[in-house]
Amino acid sequence: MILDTVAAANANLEAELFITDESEGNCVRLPARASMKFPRFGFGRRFKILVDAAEHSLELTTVKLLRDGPSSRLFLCESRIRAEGQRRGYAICEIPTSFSILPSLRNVFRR
Amino acid sequence: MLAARKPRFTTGRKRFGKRLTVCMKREIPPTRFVLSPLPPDSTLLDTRYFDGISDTGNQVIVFTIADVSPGSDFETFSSGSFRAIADFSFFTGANRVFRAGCAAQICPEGKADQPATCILELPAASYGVGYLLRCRLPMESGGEIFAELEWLFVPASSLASAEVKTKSSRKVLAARADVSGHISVLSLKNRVEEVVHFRGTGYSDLRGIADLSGVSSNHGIWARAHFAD
Repeated sequence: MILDTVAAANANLEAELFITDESEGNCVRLPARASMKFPRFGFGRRFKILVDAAEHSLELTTVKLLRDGPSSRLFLCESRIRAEGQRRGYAICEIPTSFSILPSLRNVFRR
Repeated sequence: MLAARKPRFTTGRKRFGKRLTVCMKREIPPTRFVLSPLPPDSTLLDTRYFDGISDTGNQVIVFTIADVSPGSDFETFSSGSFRAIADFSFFTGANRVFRAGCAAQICPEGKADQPATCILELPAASYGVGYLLRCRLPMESGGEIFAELEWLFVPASSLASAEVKTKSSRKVLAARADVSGHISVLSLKNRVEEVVHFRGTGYSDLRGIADLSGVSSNHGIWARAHFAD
């Protein structure tokens, strides 16, 4: 049973998932691909980050902007992972301020 | 009765081995924390990061302590005095944010009973590894935050290799930790305005100072998700 997932993605959205299962200490490192989904019409600040590995898929939905720092923004997210079943939890996600590949992010953050 | 009560520091627990004391410099206004200039040679140094999400998902704690002194071993907290920046944020409810922090001088010994001090005790519990944080920091909005929190986790050797080679490298110290403790918000007159008992799940890593100074760019998304037992 998956307890924790750490996801890292670079500016090209090449990602890695670090998955810890219930036998704590057993950490699996998986190559993945990240993508982002934005609401087509204004539904506030919520947007989704999807991290897909071969057998696991992590979905993060932003709930609240916690901190708008000089170099990164910190979000509280709802998390959902699909593996053998589907599990829901919470996550903290950092996105760098200079993440320039998605200009539409600026409008999302300003609301 | 509640308003007159003042939080009290106690001495460190015996089961914890090493103690780190941070003596704050009060003359630096807390509001300058984010913008406080760092020495030019500080970009390669480290930050200890701790966070925690409550079981209900409506409270979040983020604590960072950044080393800005060249030559110090921040990973093992070797003895000696060096400069650091401490930042504590507590988010509760819909829009309530309490944030406190200032520049600090880390000392091998310090007085925990004084305001604006921070003690971070390092591991040695028999059942795992624990970080005990006890800090009393000035808030940006006036008043102080007094926090007594514990991060407990089982050390994982395989996680030590979970270091991502980006411009701002991070070393995962605890992908999952049980976080518990309490946070008191003190007014300017030292009255306890709010006491919150926190229980949840957390995370800790060691990262480059570039995260705070804004030097890094495009180091990517970094997220950690916790699921119920």
